[in-house]
Order: sequence, then structure tokens, then C-alpha cells
Amino acid sequence: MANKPDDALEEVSQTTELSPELIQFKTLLESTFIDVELAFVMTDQIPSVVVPKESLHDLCVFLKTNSVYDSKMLSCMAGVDYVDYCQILYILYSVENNCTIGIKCNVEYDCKIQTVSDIWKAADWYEREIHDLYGIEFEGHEDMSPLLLYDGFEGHPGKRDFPFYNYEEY
Amino acid sequence: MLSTVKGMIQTLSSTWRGLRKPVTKLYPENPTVLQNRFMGFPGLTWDKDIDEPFCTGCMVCIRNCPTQCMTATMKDNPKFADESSKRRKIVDEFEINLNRCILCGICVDVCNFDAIVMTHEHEESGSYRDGSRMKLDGLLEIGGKYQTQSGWKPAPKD
Amino acid sequence: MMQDQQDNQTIDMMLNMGPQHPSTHGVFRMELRIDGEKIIDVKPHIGYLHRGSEKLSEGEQYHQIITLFDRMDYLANFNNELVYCMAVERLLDMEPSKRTEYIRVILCELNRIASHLLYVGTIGLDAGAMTPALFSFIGRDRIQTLFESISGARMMHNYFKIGGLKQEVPDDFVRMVKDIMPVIRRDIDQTEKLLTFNEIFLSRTKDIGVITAEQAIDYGLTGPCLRGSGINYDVRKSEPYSVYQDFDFDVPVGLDGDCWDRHWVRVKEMHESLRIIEQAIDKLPDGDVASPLGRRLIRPSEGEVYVKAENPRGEIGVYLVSDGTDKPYRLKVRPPSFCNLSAIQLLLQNSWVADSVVILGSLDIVLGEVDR
Repeated sequence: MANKPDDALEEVSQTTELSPELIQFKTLLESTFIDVELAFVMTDQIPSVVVPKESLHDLCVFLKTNSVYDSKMLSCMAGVDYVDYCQILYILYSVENNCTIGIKCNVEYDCKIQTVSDIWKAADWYEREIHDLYGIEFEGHEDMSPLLLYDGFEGHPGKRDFPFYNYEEY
Repeated sequence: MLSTVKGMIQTLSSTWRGLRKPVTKLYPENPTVLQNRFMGFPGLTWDKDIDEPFCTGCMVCIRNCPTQCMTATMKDNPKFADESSKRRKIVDEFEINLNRCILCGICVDVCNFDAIVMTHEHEESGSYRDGSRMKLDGLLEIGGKYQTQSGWKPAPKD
Repeated sequence: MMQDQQDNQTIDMMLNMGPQHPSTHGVFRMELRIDGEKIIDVKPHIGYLHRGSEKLSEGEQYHQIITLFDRMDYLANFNNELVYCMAVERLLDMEPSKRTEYIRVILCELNRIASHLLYVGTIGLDAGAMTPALFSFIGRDRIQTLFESISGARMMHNYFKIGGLKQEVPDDFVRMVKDIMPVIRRDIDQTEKLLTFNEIFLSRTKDIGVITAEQAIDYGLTGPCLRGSGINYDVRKSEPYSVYQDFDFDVPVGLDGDCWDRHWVRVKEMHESLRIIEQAIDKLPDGDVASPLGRRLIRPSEGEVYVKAENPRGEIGVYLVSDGTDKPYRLKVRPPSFCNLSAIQLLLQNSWVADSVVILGSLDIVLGEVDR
């Protein structure tokens, strides 16, 4: 498991064998986003792209309107704490084409990331949840009030260093 | 209008059926029949051949419990010294906090000595704050009750 | 004249619905801004039942997490256990035996019927009908008694293990399931006859809480809520998992996306589930159900998986990251109710206060899963 975002990018670019779905995904995205540094990985059986956070929003808009990956549904959004940075995983699904793709975005904890709740309404609550658990700020989100935690909760329980049992009971 | 009346008749006939053949039972008089595999509170079993508990206090169940509801200590088995028992160690104290126990049965799965069983006991109550903490004698009591009721036998050793 | 106009001016009223409201199906609070009887705006508040299951599972070993999944969607325990077991099995790159898979499917479909029966009862209560709830609970209780004789618990089973089942099913399992089928069919028909085409129920649910197909997809709705809007999407069909590709069944699809369509889809799904159980019980293969892992500590190699399955409430996804230790590095659940509930703001706007209960009931949420 890589510890830094740069390591992650290097690691995946070294992978030699690519599945046909991933190659198709790669050619499409690389021809569209020429200036952007993209990396391609398989998340289990889902072709995924690791994208810098600056071009995340553009990529999401592209994938939603693209005819091949007509990703009208945001199926899942998950944050994973890798100590140095937080990785946010978007799983997109197309009901018509029955295909699933993933987007991964590595964010440092003091950085902000652009919201995708204007693209998919489903992202609204997911982003609030990630904000609760990891403290990631989503730029442009309308309402960032706590969703799962109560008002005034201190700390971010999703992080690895959050204690398990010796927290204060409400 | 007609369909409203139809619906009313439907409802009334169902109510009538329900009144004639009630499916509910009055609780304390007619308790629900428990199935054979019902998992109630965990209890400890008693080895009748040697007259001591099966449990050796090896802590496997305690380490595997998802809610950390048990504690146990072991001691040297006095019966091992006079060679009436093969168990070198035996349980000294055992406590299960039945309020924390979620009746998942993992302790029974992981036990190597068939020492713990999910009994059919499920109606415990206590009038003081620590009443839900069951000690070794209580656990052996409900375990022994289950043993006699269901004819439980330890799994044959290969 | 001026005085009159000033008197007639109304201000919006804030109405708190929940968290202890009986028809919010748990502890769920809505801040309604109402103008007379019309709802102008809704602000949902969840998190009253947040137990941090995802965080807790980072501190538990792989075989202990099954108990946490039981308690997420507490009306569809077997379905939840299945998706977690599938995720770990894929991480370990192992396949359970055919018999295990068949028994799992039978139990999951029975659980789906039990969950939908409870839904039919509660939507009746929400719409003002008392009788269907009592009748649907008879059928649900029969299924739960069957579960008790198989797994030992009526709700929190902890019966599926990674790579197998906890123990072999009872000897008379096939007979028990075959016996219960006609009874359950009768129960479903009875409840359906009472409710589905009842005129009062129709007027309470038809054209209420309409969500179009595009909106439903945009909000990430899945399960009966999405199919009620006319989208044919079922994980069992689109990406068959377990042994669902062996069975012949239809996916009922609604038309308008209103409360009644969502109800109708669920009622039809119960019949489809019965069809699956019939086929599965006929084809039930012999074999071993015990997990090949035995009591060994489960320690998958590094990797990540995303597994999805069809719950009674929709698509449940599990994203599991392993770092090679005996505990998961990160476990994320995509709860179907969570996404379904996020559309409540859209559904309730410009509807009546009296309808809000029915609309919320038709989404069929389980708060244990929304909050985790």
C-alpha cells in the first residue's frame, strides 16, 4: 500500500498487464484529457482512474455525458484514510450500458476538493458523510452541516488515529 | 362507491376470520415453543464423567467475542494431581455480562472443548444493577439445565 | 381594508416530525416548513442511530464483522450477511460450495419476502389501514420461526460464515420450506387483497410522491424505488452474483414512480422470490456446507474489492480494503436506504403534510442502515 500520492501514481503506471475494459477506458480518457496526468488501475473488477483533484470535476462531467460510459448514477462514494492523505473513491454506474467505473482522487487533509453534488444529487449526502468522518472540505457544496454526527462533535471518527472506545458518550 | 363497499366487505370478512381463529397467544400462560437450535444466553457445560466443568479457561471465546462481554481466569486442576482428570488447568472464575452479549454464538463455534453452549434460557431478569453479570455457578446452572433438557453431548473426538 | 390584508398575511410554520414519531420507521427527524397544510421545504436529520459500524469493523476480525452486518439492515439480515461474505470471499479468492450458495439464496429470498411483508403492513398503517399489518405479521412470523429452526435466532442470525455456513441445515429443511411455501403464498395474497386495489389505499397512494426516472437515477435510488419509476435495474439480473443466474425470474417494473407503483413492485417481487425459492429447493445439490477455512484466522492478502448485491431495499455495496492483517483496513457500506432517503427532500416538496407519512413509508427505509 502506497504512502504518498506520487508513489501510488508510479506504482500503477508500472503495471504491465491491463484488462481490455481498462485499455478501452484508458484510450478514451487519454485522448480527451491530454494535459492531465492520469493513472489507471483496476479496483477489483472495476476499471478506475486516479485523477488529480483539480480536474476531477471536468472528468466527472465528461463521464456523465459521454455515450460509452453514460454514468448517470453515482453508486457509491467512499473515503479511505491512508494516514498522509485521504483517497476518495467514486463508483459510477450506467443503467443503460450496465457498466461500472471508478474514479479515485487523492486529497491531502488541508486541501479542499470540488464538489460533485451539482452533477449528481446523490453526492450531496455522501459528501456530507465524508466531511463528517474525514474532515474533507467540499468546495461549492451548499450545506456542510454534520449528517451522521451530532452538532459540536469534535474529531473525525473515520481517521485511523481516532480512538475506538475511550470517547465521550453523548 | 361500489369498490369502496367491496373493500369494506373484504376487510370485514378478514376481521371475522381473524376473530374466529386467533393466531396470537397469551404470553405467560402459553409461551412460544422454542426451536431446537434456539440460541439463548450462553452457559457452561458440566462433564458428568469426571464431575468438573469442561471449561479450562483457555480464553479463546473471550478473544473472539465481538462485544468483549466475558472474562475468565484459570487455575491448576486439583483433580489432575490425583490423575482422576486429564485437564491440567480448569476454570476458576468466569463471568458473562448478559447485557452486552449479543447471542451471536461465535464463542460456541470457536470453543475447542465444547465447554460453552447457547442454552434455551432467554427470560432472565434481575432487580439490581449488576444482575446481568452472570458468574460461574449461574452459568453452570443454566448450562446443566440445557444439558438435561436437550440431551446435549460433547462432539465425538476424532 | 389595509388592516384586513395585513391580518391575512401568513407566515410559514416550522414543524418537527420525529425523532419519536411512530411513522418515521425509527429515529428520524424531519424539519418541515409548512404553509397551512402544504409542505414548502424539508430538512431531514439523520444520525440518531449512528453506531459507527464502519469504524467498529476496523477493530474487529473478519469473522466478527458478520454480527455488525446483521444489525445494519435489521429486516434483511441474511441479505446483508451474504454481501459481506461475498466480499471477503472475493478478497480471499475462494468459492463456497454449490450447496452453500443454494441454501444462501433460499434464505435470502425468504428474508426478502419477510421484509416486504413487513413493508406491506407498515404502509397500510401509514395510509390508515390497521388490518393488513396484523395479517402480514402472521406470514412474517412463520418465516422467522423457520429461520429460528435453521439458524437459532429469529433476527440476528450470524449463520453465514466466510466460505460456508455455520452448520448444516436441519434434516427436514426441504420439507419445511416446501410446507411453508403455499402458506406464505396465501398470506401474501390475503394481505394483497386487503390493500393493493383497495379504493381508499389507491386514492392515498396514486400520483403521490412522484419521482421520474431521471430524478431517481440522479438521486441514486435503487431497488423497488427505482423500479417503481420504470427502470429495469436489478443487480440479480444485471450482474448476477451467487447462483442467481441459474434461476428464471422476472423483474417487476412500475410505470409512474408514485407510491402505489413502489408498493406494487414490492408485492410482485414477493411472488418472484417464491418462484426463485421453488426452483432452488428443487435443484438443491448435495455437498458440504462447512467453510474450508475452519477455525483458522482469516488473513486476506492486500487488496480492495467492491461487491454489490440486491437487498430488499435496493443495491447494497461493500467496499473492503485489506492491508494483509486480520482486520480490515477500511470497510465502507453503500446502504440502499441512505440513498433512497436522500430523495425525501424532492419527494416531499409541495405535497401535503398528511401525505408525507405515506411517501416516507413507501421508500421503506430502515434507519439502522441509514445511520449505520
